[in-house]
Amino acid sequence: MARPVPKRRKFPFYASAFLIVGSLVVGIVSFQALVSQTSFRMRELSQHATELQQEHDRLELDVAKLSAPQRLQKAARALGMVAQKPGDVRAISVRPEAEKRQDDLSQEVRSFSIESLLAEPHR
Amino acid sequence: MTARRAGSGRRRSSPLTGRRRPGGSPARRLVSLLAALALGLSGIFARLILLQVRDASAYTALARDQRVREVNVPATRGKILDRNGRALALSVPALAVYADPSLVVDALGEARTIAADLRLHSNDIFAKLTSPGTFTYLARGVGLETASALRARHLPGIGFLSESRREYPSGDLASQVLGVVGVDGEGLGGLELHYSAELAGQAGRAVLESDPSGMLIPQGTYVDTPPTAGDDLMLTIDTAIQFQAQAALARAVRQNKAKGGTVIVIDPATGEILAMTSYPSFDASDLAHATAEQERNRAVTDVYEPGSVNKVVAVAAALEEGTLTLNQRLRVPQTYESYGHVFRDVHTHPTEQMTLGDIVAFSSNVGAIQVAGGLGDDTFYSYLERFGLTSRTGIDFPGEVDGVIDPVDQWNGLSMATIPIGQGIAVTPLQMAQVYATIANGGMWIQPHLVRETIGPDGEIHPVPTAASRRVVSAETASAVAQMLAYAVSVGTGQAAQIAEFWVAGKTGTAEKVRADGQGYGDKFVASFIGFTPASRPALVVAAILDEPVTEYGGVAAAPLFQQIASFALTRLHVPPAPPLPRPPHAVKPG
Repeated sequence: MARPVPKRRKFPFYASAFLIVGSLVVGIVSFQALVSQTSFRMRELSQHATELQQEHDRLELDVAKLSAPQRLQKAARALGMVAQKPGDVRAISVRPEAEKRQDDLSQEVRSFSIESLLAEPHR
Repeated sequence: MTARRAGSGRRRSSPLTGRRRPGGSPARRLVSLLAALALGLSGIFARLILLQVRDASAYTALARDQRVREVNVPATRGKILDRNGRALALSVPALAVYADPSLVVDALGEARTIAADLRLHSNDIFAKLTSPGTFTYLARGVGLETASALRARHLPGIGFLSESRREYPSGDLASQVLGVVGVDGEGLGGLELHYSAELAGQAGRAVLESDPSGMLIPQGTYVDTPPTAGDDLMLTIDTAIQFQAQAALARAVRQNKAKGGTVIVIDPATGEILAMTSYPSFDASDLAHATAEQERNRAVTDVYEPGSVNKVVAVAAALEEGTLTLNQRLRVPQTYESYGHVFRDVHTHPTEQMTLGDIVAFSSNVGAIQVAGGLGDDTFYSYLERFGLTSRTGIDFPGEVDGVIDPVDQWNGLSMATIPIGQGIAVTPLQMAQVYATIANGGMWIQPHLVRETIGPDGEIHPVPTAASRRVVSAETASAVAQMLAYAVSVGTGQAAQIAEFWVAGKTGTAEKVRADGQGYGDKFVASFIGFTPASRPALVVAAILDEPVTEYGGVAAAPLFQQIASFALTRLHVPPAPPLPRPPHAVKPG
């Protein structure tokens, strides 16, 4: 007499299958949603970058226009300034005494910084 | 038995009604139906094969075309900067406004609206909106704000395309040097044309997938190749010196009632052009009102007879060849006759002894002819060649022309009388300025150039190749000529160019112009002064040339122009004063 075949419980199988499939579906959908969201975000950021670049270009043009010599000249004239004429700017020669004093000072600094340190290394 | 057996007849009768069913037995009808279905399915299958196998690629392409668009992504054109990084030309985003006339509903109303928004003539817009075809540009390079206002109106049949617009924020500053670009962003002249390949960059290509309503599919959008922005050009031009040169030139043209003029400022040690302008000029942002004459960079594209500024070539050649020395004196009469033509010195003097220094300082035509005569045709011509007057300088600018100097074997008897004094030849202002730059640079000719370096989109700096150079005369000869030129400004014809504490070395030129009909010389002149300063440590060369001034003489019309520009440039470049050069040996008593 054959032994009775134990009746398998199918519920866990269906439940686990449902869970797995469900998780996969939810995962895929979520992933797709995330990808779409990221894509939208990327497009927004790209659009924002484009707008910022356009703003940068516009501001750069504004700076260039505002610093154009013609405009600066007008603005300077409005402030009462006048253009330099030949001879207006005078060069001042450095006097030999001042040059000598500068050389002496440089020599003193050099003698302190190098020679004095070499002479008294353990101070 | 008369009755037929059931099922044996051709048509069976219903067991209930006794009537025969149409269509015969069910089996046969089923077979017929099956056959019909099989036939139909075969047709569908055959069609399926046609669609999916034979024409698959064509339909795939058709479907792709419906949802995928490939568009060129224009590259941003590089900027043009002055030597200190100030923008002289740059591109900004803009939109092109176009119309599909077949979709326009109210052409007159739309034309009025568009014309008002874009400040155009409504008649022109109306004509375009009613033209045949499905595409026409209404306006190019429209600013984003203006275009946005128009876009918000949602006019039927009106569309917008992204593009860029070239802006020249400093208006007419160096406009002849910068050149212009066309509406499609291609260089049409000047540096915009010469460096078009570097400035233009490389357009990219974008592939866009959109749904039937035209909306982009987020995950289907991708870019094949991004555009590569063009290189920026950093010029040798100094904006401030350029501006002052233009302003001073315009002023000098007005004061002298001249027809026009040209100014060039060069750093003789490097060949860098610090300023280059011609009058009249034009506003590059308002190209519609520019004339061809205004657009020409005449420093490079036009030639003129230089007059006395050319005497320096014969003098330098004589010293270099040893045919004359600084101390040697020539017996110079007031006039010189050659082949029936009489050449005379402008200032009246008896036949007198002159050194080379005197000949330069007092601009003696007769003396210069004698100096060149001592050299001989071939030697003199070889120095015209060496100083670069017989060939283009090779400056990085399009449209440079050659000088007009006949080869020496085609010279006539008058050539050795006219050419040493700068008549009978024609050179560009730049070629002539280069002669003085060579003297200022100790006898070395350095190729002039307008671009210092290019800057890639990644910020990498690419210096331009080292400028070509060649020795023309020895440093000793150049130094001696510089002394003579300084003497010409101290006591001679160029005194109006002097700058205190810096000292100027230079030469005046007053050249007769050939008449418009080409029959000899008329009563028009080109006045010029070309020189360098400080005379003993040259930092810049300035060529100041006025076309047909009523004041005629270079020493009167052009020398003050030189002085104004050079004074400003010295301050601008923080050039320290330098001691004066010693006077060259001279025999004529100044004054």
